[in-house]
Amino acid sequence: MSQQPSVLVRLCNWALHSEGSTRSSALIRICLVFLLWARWANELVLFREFATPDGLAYVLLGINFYAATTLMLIGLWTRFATAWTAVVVGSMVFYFGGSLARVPWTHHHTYLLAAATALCACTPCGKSYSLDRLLAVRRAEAAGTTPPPEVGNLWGLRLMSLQLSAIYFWGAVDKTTVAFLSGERMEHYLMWFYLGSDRPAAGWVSALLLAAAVTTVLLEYTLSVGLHIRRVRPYLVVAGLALHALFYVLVPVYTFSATMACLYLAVVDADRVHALIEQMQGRGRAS
Amino acid sequence: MQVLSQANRRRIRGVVFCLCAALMLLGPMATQVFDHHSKWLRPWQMFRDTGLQLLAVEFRVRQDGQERVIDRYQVLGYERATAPKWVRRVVKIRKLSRALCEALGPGTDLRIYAEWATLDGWQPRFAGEQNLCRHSRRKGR
Repeated sequence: MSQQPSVLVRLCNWALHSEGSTRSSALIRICLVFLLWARWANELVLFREFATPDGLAYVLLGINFYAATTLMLIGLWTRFATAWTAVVVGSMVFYFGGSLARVPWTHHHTYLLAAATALCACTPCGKSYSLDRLLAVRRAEAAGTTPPPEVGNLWGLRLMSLQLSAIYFWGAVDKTTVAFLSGERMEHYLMWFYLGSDRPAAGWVSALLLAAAVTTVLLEYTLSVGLHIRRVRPYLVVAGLALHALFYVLVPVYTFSATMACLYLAVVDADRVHALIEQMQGRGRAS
Repeated sequence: MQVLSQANRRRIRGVVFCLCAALMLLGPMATQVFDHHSKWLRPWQMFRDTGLQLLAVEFRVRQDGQERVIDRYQVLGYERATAPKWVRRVVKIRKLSRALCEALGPGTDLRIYAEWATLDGWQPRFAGEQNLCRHSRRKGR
């Protein structure tokens, strides 16, 4: 009769009832641990804050950080370890960063890491590439049964894809100003990071900056929606990764680009990722 | 043993999904639309403050009613690539103008023409209104 109910049901199925390979979730889990270590491991070495007034809190934080992320990486009690890591990183962003005014811990790239870790705890990230998986396979072998399938509910990945959309959409909204779209804000960045206080003399630079600004904004709006459209997704994934690669080499984004690239695994069809891995390992398209 | 029934797990998952989705998709509105700042609601305004207050400068020496543009790097004896940050990336002018005045010698009439970077783009800041060497102080930036 009307299209509305079926769209809602499809949306609900997409969000909450999709089942698929757990390898994407596991890869995201592993990538996130390395990104967390890249960002924080050095700062949380126990001696750094040991003698400060908040030393005990930082030492406890460091111990929790290393223990939780190690378990998360090797995949032992994986869901618990990932949730534990999410709590630790969340406390770093909101309590240590927000309340104790450790401002660098509240930046966009650190918030994104915390959010991604929390969302990763909502995925079946321990069902692949983990000690949990190895133990499950061994148990199955000992019992003479087939190993449990690497399949789980993908609602956590759906949330990650929405997080990507939100970042692109609101990032584009923030840039939708005359100053940005005219290329002037781009010129500010160019001068701040590269040229210093001398405006570029060549006229083509202004044209290039204008084109870069408009392209960035258009691409961000497109990515916010297009990553969810199967037909255009492959092209947009390539375009998005290229955008983040440019950000990575041109401006100080810390772990932001790498985290975004890692989260792209959440928008790619999980079974397709599984099949590609099987293919890479010479085991054909189906597992 | 299942602590929660399948139906309850689904309900909880649905509620958590909706809350997270709403927080992620609508949370940035608080700051970006309503200008309400909260540490719990993350805006996505990357590099919003970067480069603000940067000056695009040109220093000129005024002599006999004529103005001549000077190269601040050359006057101070720096290479552009290795010059200190306060020479290369000008935000405050006191330290730089004092150094330039000292290098140019007494009696110099040094003027600054500059625009500064704002969220609304380039805005006029200085248009050679005053002789910097006359007003330069001994300390501070």
